[in-house]
Amino acid sequence: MGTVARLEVKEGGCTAAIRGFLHGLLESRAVGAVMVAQRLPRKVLRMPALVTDPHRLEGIDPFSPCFALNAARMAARLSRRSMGVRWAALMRPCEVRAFVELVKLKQAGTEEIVLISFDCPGALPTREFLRSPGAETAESTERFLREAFSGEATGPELAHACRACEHPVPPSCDVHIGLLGTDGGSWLAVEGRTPAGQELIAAAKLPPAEAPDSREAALRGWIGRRAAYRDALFARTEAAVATIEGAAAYFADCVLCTNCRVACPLCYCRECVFATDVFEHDPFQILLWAERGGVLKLPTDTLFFHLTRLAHMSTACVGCGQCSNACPQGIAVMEVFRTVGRRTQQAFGYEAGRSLEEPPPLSVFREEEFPEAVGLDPRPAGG
Amino acid sequence: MRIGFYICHCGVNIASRVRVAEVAEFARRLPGVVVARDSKFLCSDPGQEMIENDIRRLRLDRVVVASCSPRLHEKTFQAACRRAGLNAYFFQMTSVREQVSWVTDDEESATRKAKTLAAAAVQRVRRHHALETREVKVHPDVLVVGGGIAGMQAALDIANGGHRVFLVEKQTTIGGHMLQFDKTFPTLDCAACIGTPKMVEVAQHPEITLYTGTEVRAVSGFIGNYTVTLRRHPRYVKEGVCTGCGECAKVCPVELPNPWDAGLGSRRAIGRAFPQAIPITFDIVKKDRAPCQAACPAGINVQGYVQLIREGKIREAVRLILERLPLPGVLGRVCPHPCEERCRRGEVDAPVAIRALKRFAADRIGPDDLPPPPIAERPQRVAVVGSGPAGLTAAYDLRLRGYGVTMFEALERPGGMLRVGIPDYRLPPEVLDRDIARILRTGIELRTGVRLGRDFRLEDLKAEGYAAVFVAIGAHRGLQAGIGGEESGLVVNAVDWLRRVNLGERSPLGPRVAVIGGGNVAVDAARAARRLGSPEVEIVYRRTREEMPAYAEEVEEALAEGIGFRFLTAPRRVLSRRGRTYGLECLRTEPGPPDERGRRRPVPVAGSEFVIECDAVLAAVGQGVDLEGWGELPTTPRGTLAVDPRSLQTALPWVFAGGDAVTGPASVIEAVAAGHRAVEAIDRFLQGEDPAGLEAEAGRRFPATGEWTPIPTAVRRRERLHPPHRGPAERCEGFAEVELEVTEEQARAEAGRCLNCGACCECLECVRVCEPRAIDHGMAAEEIQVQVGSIVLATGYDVMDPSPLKAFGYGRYPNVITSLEFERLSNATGPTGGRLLLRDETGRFTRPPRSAAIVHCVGSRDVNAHAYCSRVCCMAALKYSHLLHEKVGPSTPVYDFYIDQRCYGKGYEEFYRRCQEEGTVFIRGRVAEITDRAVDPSEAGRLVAVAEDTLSGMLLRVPVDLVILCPAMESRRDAAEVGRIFGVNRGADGFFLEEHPKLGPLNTATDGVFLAGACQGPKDIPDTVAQASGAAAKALALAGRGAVAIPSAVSTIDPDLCAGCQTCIGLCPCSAIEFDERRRVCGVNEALCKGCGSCAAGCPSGAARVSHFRKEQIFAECDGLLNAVRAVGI
Amino acid sequence: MPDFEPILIAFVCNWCTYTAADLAGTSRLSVPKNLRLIRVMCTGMVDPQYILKALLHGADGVLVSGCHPGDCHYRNGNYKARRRIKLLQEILPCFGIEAERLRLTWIGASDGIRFAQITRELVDKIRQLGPNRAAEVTALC
Repeated sequence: MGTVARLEVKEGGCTAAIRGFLHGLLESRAVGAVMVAQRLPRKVLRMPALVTDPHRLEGIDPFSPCFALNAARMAARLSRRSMGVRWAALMRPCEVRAFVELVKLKQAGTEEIVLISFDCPGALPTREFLRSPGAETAESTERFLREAFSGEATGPELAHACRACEHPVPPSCDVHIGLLGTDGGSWLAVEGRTPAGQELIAAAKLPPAEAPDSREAALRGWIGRRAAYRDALFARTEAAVATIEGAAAYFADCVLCTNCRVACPLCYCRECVFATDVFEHDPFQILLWAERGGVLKLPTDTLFFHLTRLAHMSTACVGCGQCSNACPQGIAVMEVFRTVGRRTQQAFGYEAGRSLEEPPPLSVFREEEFPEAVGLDPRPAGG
Repeated sequence: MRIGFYICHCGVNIASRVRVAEVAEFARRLPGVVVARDSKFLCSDPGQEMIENDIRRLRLDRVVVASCSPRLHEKTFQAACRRAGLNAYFFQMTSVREQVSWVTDDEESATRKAKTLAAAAVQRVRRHHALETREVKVHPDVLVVGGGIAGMQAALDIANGGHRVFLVEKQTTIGGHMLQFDKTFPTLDCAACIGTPKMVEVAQHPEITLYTGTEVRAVSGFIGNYTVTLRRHPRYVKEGVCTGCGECAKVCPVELPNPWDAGLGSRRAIGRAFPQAIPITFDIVKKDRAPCQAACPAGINVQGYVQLIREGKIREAVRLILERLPLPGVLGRVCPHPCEERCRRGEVDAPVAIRALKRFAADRIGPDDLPPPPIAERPQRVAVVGSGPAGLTAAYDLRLRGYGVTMFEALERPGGMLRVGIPDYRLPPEVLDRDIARILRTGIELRTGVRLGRDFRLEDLKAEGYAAVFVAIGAHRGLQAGIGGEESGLVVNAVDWLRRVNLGERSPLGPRVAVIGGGNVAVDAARAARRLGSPEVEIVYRRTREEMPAYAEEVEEALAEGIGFRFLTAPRRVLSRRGRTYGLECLRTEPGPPDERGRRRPVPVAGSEFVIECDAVLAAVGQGVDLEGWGELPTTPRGTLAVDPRSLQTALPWVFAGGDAVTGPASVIEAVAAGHRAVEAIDRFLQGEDPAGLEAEAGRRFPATGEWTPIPTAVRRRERLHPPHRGPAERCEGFAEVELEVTEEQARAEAGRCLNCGACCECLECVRVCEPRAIDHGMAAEEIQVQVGSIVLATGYDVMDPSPLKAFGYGRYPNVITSLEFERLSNATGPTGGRLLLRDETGRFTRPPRSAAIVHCVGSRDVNAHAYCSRVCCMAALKYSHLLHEKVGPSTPVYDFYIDQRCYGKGYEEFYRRCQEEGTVFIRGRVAEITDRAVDPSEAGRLVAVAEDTLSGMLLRVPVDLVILCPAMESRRDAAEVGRIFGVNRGADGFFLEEHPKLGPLNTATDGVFLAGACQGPKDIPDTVAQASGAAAKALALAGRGAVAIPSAVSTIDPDLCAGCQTCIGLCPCSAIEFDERRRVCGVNEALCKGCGSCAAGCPSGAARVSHFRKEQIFAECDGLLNAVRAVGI
Repeated sequence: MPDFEPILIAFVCNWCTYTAADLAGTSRLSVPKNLRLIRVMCTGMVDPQYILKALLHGADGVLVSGCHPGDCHYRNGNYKARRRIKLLQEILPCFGIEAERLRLTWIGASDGIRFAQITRELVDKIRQLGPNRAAEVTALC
C-alpha cells in the first residue's frame, strides 16, 4: 500500500471534496485535463466529460449512482494516441478494470493517463435512476452516499451487476479515494498507489494521514455481502440456462440489435462479425433452415451471437453490467456473461482487469497444457 | 451463378458402392447447378475435356468435382479449369472415394454420404473468390543431406545439371553404408570399386561444396527459398592442409574401436574411417578431459603417459609427465594418487595402477636420456627460496620460460621435506638426486646452506636484482605435544628426529619406542625407529584408525612390520627415572561431540590412566612454518604465510609464496601444483599483467561435454597390477626401498587396462610429427548458413541392434555376428584384411569357420520388432553364402534359414539359382534359438541353430561355427528430430513419409523437400540410386524453372475491420504480420505467410482471413452438409 | 434411442488427419457413415465459431483433429487449437451442450487405423449421448 493523504470533507460533501482535489490538480498543472462524470444542464444522466479549466468542475458528480456507460471506452480513445499532456481519469473500479483489459488489447495506452478510482458504492440500472425522484440534483448523490455507507439504503435497488460486484476497489490504479471507514465520510483517504499517483497527491498538497483502520473490516463486510449475492446470482443463472431449451428461451427475445456489444467496453471490434457479410445469408439458405423444422424464428443466429461473444470476450468480462443496461428487451445479459466468464477465467487461471502483466488467455499458448482437452474421454481438468 | 457438378466412377472404385448417377441427379437440383454429370474416369483426358467444354459452352463460373482425394487430383482439375479460362479457385473438389466408397459398407449410406458431400462442395464453391497464384523465385542452389550412395548420386546429378550443391554428411567421410560393404549383389562387383570413384567425383566436382562432420541445425523459409543453418563439428585437423600421409596415426598412442568396422577393428584417436575416406583429411576423436587428469592437482596428462607406456614409448611418456611434473621419480613413489580414486576402470574391476606406471617410466629414463627442452632466454632473474617440491617445480617452470633462476636452500642438500621428511625406504635419495639433477641441468643456480632470515632477507634479494621471489620454505617446525616431560626434553620431536635420520644420523632410540600422533610423520617415525633396531614400536593415537590422516597403505605396511597401534589413547606425561624415560602415562578416550570441522573430538575417560612402558617417546603432532628470524611477510592465524589464493602473491607484490609454507603440511603433489600456479602468476607479473588472471593451457581444449568414451560392454575383468614388495623381516633390516620394480610387460599390460576416457589424450605426439602443421587441438565447432531453393533428404538407415532379441544370442556369443559385421570381415579394408575368421572370448580373430548359418528376418516381418520386410536381407544372405563358399571353401556347409526367398530384382532369381548350385542348404523356417548348449558330441563347442523346417515339419538342430544375422533396416535414431527440422512426417514404421505412396514417392508434405534412398524405407542399392536420381531431377526441375507458383491460400487482414489488437502477431508462427503504427492496423507479408490461419481463428472481428478458407466458405460447407443430411438422411 | 444415427462434423488438418483419413480409405478400413470431414489447412485455423456453427445447426458432435504435438506443419497450430477447444469445452456445458460433443484429437498422417478406431468410438459415445437438440430448439427460440 502506498502513501495515504487526508482530504477533508466539509459542506458540499464528498463531491465537493473531490472537486477541490481535482481543482488543485488542474490549477497546479499536475495534470492538463481530467475525465470525470458530469451533471448535464436540463438532463438527468451523468456523462463523462473532459475538463481542462479548474473553474469548470462545478458540475462533476463522480459518485452519483448513475452509470450511463462504461467510461473505459472513452479513456481508451483518449489514451490510444498521445494527447500531449498528462491527464487524469476518475473512474469506477469496473471501468478501471475494463481499461486494464483494453490496454492489453492495444486499444488503450498508459503513458499519459493517471487512473483515479474510489470505493465504489455501485449504481442503479439506468432506467431506475431516471425514475428516481430528484435524481438530477447534486444532493441526491450525497444522500445516496450516506445511505450506501451507513448501510440503511431506502432508495431503489442497485443494479444486479453492482450488487454482485466483489471489486468495490480496483486491483490496480494510481490514486485511490477511500470513502469507507472514514467515520461516516468526514474525510476521504486519498492513497497514491504508484509513483505517478503519489506525485499527484504531492501536487495537491494534501496532509499525510494514517489509513483508516476500520476500513479493511468495512470493506470485508461489503465484499462479503456482494459475494453472497453473486453466488446466488450464479446459481440462479446456471439453472436458467442449464438446458439448451432454457438457454434458447433466455435469449429468445434478442433482436440482434447488438446494443450489448456496443455498450460492452471490451467488445473492441470496429464492426461486429455478425454485421459483416459473413452473416449475409442467401435467402434460399434461410429457407432451407426453415424447411428443417417447418418453421424458423427470425432473426436467426441470436444464440449463435451470444455464444460467439462469450467465446470472444468472456475471459475479459469485468461484469460492469452495461450489456444488461443496454438491452432494449430487458435480457439479463450480464448475468450470463459473469456466470460463464467465471468458468472461462478460472479455466485459464486468469482474472479480467487484475494486472497488466497477465496476457489474455487466447493470445498465448504453452506446449504442455490442458491434457484433459485432448482425446475422447474428457478427463477432469488438470487430470 | 452457373455451377457444373461432376462425379467420377473411378472405374468401379466409386461406382461399385455409390449410385453416381443418382448423386448427379441430386446435385442437379441444388441451387446454382446448371449441369451435373457422371463419368467413368474424370481424371482422364476425355473426362477433363468434358469439363473444359462445359465451362466454355455453358459459361460455367464454378466447378465441383466429386471423385478421389483432392490430395491426388485437385491440381489436375484446377489446371483443366484454368485451360478453359476459369480461375482455378472457382473449383472445389470433394472425395467420394477415400471418404465414401472405400470406407462405407452399404450402398445406401454411401450414396447418401456422397450426396451430402456434393451439396457441401456446391454450397462452398458459391462463396469462392478468384485468386491469383503467386510466383516466387527459386534459389538455384540445392542442399543434399546425407553422403551415402543416395546423397552422392543426387548431388552429382544436380551438380552435373549445372547447379551448386551443398552436400552435408554427419560422419567424417562420405560413402555411407555401401562403402562399408564388401561385394554388392547380384553382380558381385566390389562396393569400393564402384563406390570410391563416386566419392572422388563428389570431392572434385567444382559445383559440389562438401561439408563432412556437419549436421543441419535449423531450416527456415519455404519452397524455393530455404535458409539452412549447419553446424560443423571440429575434426581438429585442417582440411586442405592435411595431406593424409598418416604419420600422426603411427605415433598416436590411443586405440579405439572403429565404428566404420562395426566395432570389430580399431583405429587411433587420430585417424580415418578407412583408407579411401573422402575427404582424406584425418580426424581426431575427442571426449571430455579424462577424470584422472582432471583429478591431478598438477594437471598431469595421466591418460597420455599411460597410453604411451602401453605403446612402449617410455621416453615419450616421461617427456609428457615432465611437462607438468619435474619430479616423476619422487611422485612415482610418494604420490597419494587422487587420479586413481577417479579412474573409471574402477567401475569395471579396479583402478589402473597409475602411480606404479609413473614410477616404472621414471626409473627407466635417467636425467641424461632426454635432451633438455629448448629455452628462449629472458633478461629477468627470479629467486626461489626453498628447494622442496614447490620450489623445485617453480624453479624448473621458471627456467623453461627463460628466466634466470637461483634457488636458495637452508640445508646442505636440496629437496626440502622430500629429503629430510620422507624416509629413504619410501623415497631412496638417489631417486631424488636424479630428479633434482634433471631440474638443475636446465641451468638453475643452487645455493645451499643459506637460510632466509639468518643469512639473507627478501630485501637483499631485491637489491641483488631479482625481479621476483618465490618463497617455498615448507613447514619444518615440529609442534609441541603439550604433555608432561616435554619441558625436560624427554619428548623427541619426530620431525626433527626424522630430519637427522634422513641426513644420515642413525642412532637407535632403545628397544621400546612410543610414537604420539596419527599422521604420516608418526608412521614414518615409527617405521624408521623400527629400522633403527627398536623391536617394540607403538603408535599412540587419540582417535580411531578410520580417523588417522596417514595413508592407509603406509599403515598397512607398518602393521606388517610389527608396529603396534593404540587407538583412543591420549598421552598424559612421560614417566622417567633419573632422566631416563621408562614409560608414557596415558588415558583412554572416547569420541566426544563433533568440532567445527565435524570431527568428533576425543574426550579422556576419567580414571582410565594406564602406562605404556617405553624407553623413548617420539611426538608427531603436526608441523608449523619456521619463521624464526624474519617477519617480512604477514602470516595467517595458523602461522602460515598469507597470500592471494589465486595468484599466491604476498603483501609484497614481487614476492609470491606457496607449498606447505602457505597451506600447512600437505601432499607433495599439492606442493607441485602450487609451484605451477606461482610460476603462472610470476610470469604474468613480470610481463606486467594481472597475476590473478586465469591460466590457459595453450593449444589444448577438451570439449567440456561431460561425456567420456563409453565403457565397452564386452570388456573383461582383469587383475590390477600389484608391484612386488620386500618382505617385512627383510625391510626392517635397513632403509632399502620397500616397493620393488615391475617389468615392462607388466607395466604395458597394466596400461592396457586404461579405458581411454578422453578418447584423444592430447599427448600432442601427432602435432610433433605433422609436417604440414595441419593439427589444431583447439579447433571449435562453427555455424554456417546456406541459401537453397530445394532440399534432398538422403539420411539413410540404421542397422537394428539384435541384442534385445535374446534368442539369437547376439552379444553373448562372439561368433554370432550381424550382416554389417560380416561385410567388414569380408572387406579387404576391414579388420581381418578380408579373411573370414572366428573370434575367441577376448574378441581376437582366430581361424576360419568350418560351417555357418545365415538367419533372415531378424527383427523384420516380426510383430514384436518391425512388421515390415527389410527387402535386402534375402539377397544379402545369398551373397554371404556365396562369399563363404568362395573364401572359406566350396565344401563349407552353409545353412540359409529363410521365411520366403524374395528375389524380385533384375538378375536376382539367377543369383539365387547360382547359390543353390553352389550347395547352400536352404531351410524354410524361422530360427527359434541360437545356443551353445550341446546335446550331443557333434554340437560340443559350437553354436546350434534351432529351427523348424516348415516344409518337412521337422525340428532341426544345426551345429555351426558362425552365425550371421540379417537384422532389420531401421529408420535413423534421430529421424524424429531430423523430420521436425525439415517439416517431414514419419510413417508408422519410423521412416520418412512420402507425399503419396504411388504418385509422390519422392515428395514430402513440405514443398521443395524431396526424399532419396533408405530414409524413406528399406531399399537396395539399385532402387536407392534410381530414387536419388529421381529426387535430383525434382530439384533440378524446380531450379530450372527458376520460379514456382505457390498456393494463394495466404492470410489477408481487412484494414477496415482490423482494430489493431495485434493478437494475431503473437499467434503467427511465420512472423508474417506487422503492425502499421500510422493506420493502427495489422498487415500480412504474403511472402512469409504460409497460410496456417492462426491469425484468422484468433481474430474476433474476422478482419484476418485465409484466402480460400474464409469463414463464410467454411460456414457454407458446414451448412451444405447439414442441410443435405436433413434432406437425404445418413 | 436405438435407431438414432448421430451426424458428426470433423474439422481435420490437411497434413495429418486428412491424410490419415485418406490412408484409412486406401486401406479399405470401415469408417462410420456418420462422419463428415471438413478439410482445413491446420487445426490452428479452426475458429471457435466453426464449432458453434456446426453444433447450433444440427451436428450432434464435432471432432477437431490435427498433428501430434511437435509435428504441426506450421509448428504450433495444434497448441492454439487446444486452447480454443478448452475454452468452448468450458462454455458449451453451461448451455446444456455436453463437453463430450466437442473433442480434440491428434491423429498423425500414418495413423489410418487410429483414425478409423477413434471416429468409430466417438460416434458410439455421441450415440450414447443422444441427439443434440440445439438446432431444433433454436429454430423457434
